[in-house]
Amino acid sequence: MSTFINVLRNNYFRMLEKKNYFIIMLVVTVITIMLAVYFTAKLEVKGNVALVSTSQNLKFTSSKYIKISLLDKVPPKSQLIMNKYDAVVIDEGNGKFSIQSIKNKDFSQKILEAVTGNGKLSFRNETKRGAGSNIIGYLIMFIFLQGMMYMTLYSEDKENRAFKRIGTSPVSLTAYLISHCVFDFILSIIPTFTVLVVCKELFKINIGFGYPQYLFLLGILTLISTAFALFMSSIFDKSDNYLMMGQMIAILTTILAGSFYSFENNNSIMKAIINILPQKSYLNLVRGLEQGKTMVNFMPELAYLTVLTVMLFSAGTIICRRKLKHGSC
Amino acid sequence: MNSIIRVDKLEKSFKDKKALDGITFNVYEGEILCFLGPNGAGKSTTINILTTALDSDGGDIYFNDRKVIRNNREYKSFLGIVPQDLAIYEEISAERNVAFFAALYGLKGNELKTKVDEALKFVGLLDKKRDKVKTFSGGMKRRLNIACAIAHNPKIIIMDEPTVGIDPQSRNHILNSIKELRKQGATIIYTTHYMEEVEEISTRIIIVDNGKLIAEGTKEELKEKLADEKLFTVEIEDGKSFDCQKLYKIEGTKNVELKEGLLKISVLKGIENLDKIIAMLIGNAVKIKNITSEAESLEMVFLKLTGRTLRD
Amino acid sequence: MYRFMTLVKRDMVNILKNPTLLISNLVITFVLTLILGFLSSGNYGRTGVDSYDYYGITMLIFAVLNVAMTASNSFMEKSLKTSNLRVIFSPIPKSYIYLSKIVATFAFTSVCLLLNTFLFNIVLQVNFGGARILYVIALLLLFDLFSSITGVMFCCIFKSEELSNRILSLVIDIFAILGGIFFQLDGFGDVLRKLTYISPVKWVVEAVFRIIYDNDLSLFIQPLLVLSVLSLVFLGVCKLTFKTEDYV
Repeated sequence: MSTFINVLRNNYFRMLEKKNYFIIMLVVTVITIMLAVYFTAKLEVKGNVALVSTSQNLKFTSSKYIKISLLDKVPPKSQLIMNKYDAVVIDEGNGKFSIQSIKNKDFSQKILEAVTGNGKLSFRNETKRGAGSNIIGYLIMFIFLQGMMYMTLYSEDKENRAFKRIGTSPVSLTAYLISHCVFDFILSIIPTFTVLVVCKELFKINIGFGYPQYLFLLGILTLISTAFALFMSSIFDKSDNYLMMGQMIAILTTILAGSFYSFENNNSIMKAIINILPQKSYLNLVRGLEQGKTMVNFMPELAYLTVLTVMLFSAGTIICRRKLKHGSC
Repeated sequence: MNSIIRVDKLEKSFKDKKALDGITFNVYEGEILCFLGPNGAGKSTTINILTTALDSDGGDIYFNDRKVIRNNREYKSFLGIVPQDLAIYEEISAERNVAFFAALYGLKGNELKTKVDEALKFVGLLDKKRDKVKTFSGGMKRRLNIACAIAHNPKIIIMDEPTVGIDPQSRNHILNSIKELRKQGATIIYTTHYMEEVEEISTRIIIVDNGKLIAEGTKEELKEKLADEKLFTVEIEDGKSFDCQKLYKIEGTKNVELKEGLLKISVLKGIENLDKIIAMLIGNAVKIKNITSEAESLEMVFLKLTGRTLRD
Repeated sequence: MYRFMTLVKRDMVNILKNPTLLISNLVITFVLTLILGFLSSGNYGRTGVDSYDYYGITMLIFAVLNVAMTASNSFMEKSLKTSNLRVIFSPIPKSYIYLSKIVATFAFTSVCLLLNTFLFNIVLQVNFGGARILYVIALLLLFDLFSSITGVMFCCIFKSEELSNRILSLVIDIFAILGGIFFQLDGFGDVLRKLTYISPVKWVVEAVFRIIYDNDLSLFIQPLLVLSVLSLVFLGVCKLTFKTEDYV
């Protein structure tokens, strides 16, 4: 217990000297939540189709799934590349239409059918996310980044050899690592949760979930991010390298898991890969809860996340112990 | 002796704290000038202004009677700086390190090669010149740190505590090198905490405290200032009830101080009433455990002038 | 000039001796493109544009963006800092110190950039717009220079690699996401599309795609000018904030 308090107190004093990290992360958290709330209201998850026609008689209206912009010139191809339009439908007169799209053939055909009124297109199969899912979805990446940022205290211990001292002192290594994790956990979750409370109470913003749910969900997320940070920082001996690789992995997997927008398509390999990502299981859980399902429905996800967290933590501890034994840190 | 550098009424403050308060002194050609002072006395600030890395708030520096302006490159090329922190690249060889810094002083080609070898030979690292610095011991790194500063044959070498934390052998090597550099015609400004080093190499000493120069001279001259005094240190027990002010009643007593069981009494030479002092202590039921007497150490000069020991 | 080149050479070697910098500049870009390109290949049809055409370009831009971290690393990485700053005592203009870091970073990363471009073109058959590749490269090189200056400027301001890199990495990630580096944002409505223009990455991405696919050079000059002006301003900030007294 004394190790625990000692490390926490020491980390606290060290963080006081690094206040700017804390402030930056807090600012980013606030911005992220604001953006998430804003986008929940404003974001259009629709297909965008440009209809090029000189005829005044065509009457196409945008629907729930598709937004049709009527243009008199074919838009530049770069706008297709940058996804401003999913497709360009060109009216060639006489009721004939041609289509330009960089998406796959199936998709083009469906668009054409939808525009000409011959078929129904259920566009993106993703239903619009609620405020809670959006906020948490956007926060995932920053919670991960935050977790890694604060774990640099441990990484720096290794770099400046303080770790060797700790390793040779009569304290338990596991207790020392757990203390770092607890510090990391507290520093990640409390500011985020506080910002949410302020949003709701002070600015009356709809944040989706209730407080207990948020605490639970953020708790799970922060646990994974902490375990991941411990794992990565144990592998790398230099904090620079650790941060670079960790951030790269966190950003890539978070984006792929669909925390900002869904990457899903019919590619089976991709589906398989995405389903392994813990962020994906986590997002399923969050979305499900917001749609009113109960926790019981998500036992597999919860089990997977728990096992993964325990594995990452154990692996981090083992690697760290082994390195200490071989004197490499 | 020619004054090569003249420092005139330098002033420098950091926020509210006055680091230098009108310090004025000369550096003469060919001397080893030791800069002494307790921590925070203004040594490093003076050195940093001398190297032009730091700007002063007031006052001037003259090099060969010409005023030095900030970042003057001609002036800088006459200097060789040995910073307190090791400033060498660990990943590359000793030779490459010296060559890199020497090239910044304009050395190139064969001249560069020769000078690099000379510098490495001088600090005794010639046979290790192709070894990576990270394989070096602490003392070797310190020596390389010096080699990097002298390859371009500077006229003035400024060394900021170059012997911190190294083994006695490396220290001896460095101290001998410094004397050798002087023989070759360099002027050396040296800051240190170690009184023994000052005793060994200095040709002149400057003592600074609170940003002011409080004494200067050769070590003999400085000790001279204490020529009329002698210091007794009495280790005592049970002295709590003893009022040491009583000792002033004894003729010749100049100063009395009691700290942590050590009674320091400085007395005028010639009137050393040691017998009376002892008698008074015994008469007051003070138990004497030990008595030492010393005269004329630099440490004493320092103590007298600054009221602090060097490592305070 | 001889002294300046001595510094540049030293800084180059410092970069080359750092495996992390080598890997991040040479390998990671290629690997990221492969992963993202492969994973999203199902979204694209066989109409001449595929996922590699998108990620090949955006990942190059992302790599260029990350050059800022290489720059700050070459300047004030812990093991280099004291030695790099010992140079302030030598008879050289103090501007040489940060300028040489910029030049070294730019030279090294330009080579990486060109290598990656070549590799993308040959191995992944990324479309660079045929002969218009010269415009693309010119724009990316200028962006590279801008990134190098930005990294060094952060070091001058924050006086430590640690702090400047941690701030930089956040700024870079946010700009990258807004700029559509990982996925296109233009489809999410006008509000978001307008917002993305606060990221300079977006201008470069758009300019490059327009050059390649529309043969439209109207957006070539604009980012060129903006980046040049910003580079000069940032250099000015370096000059103002790099003070030798902070390092003695």
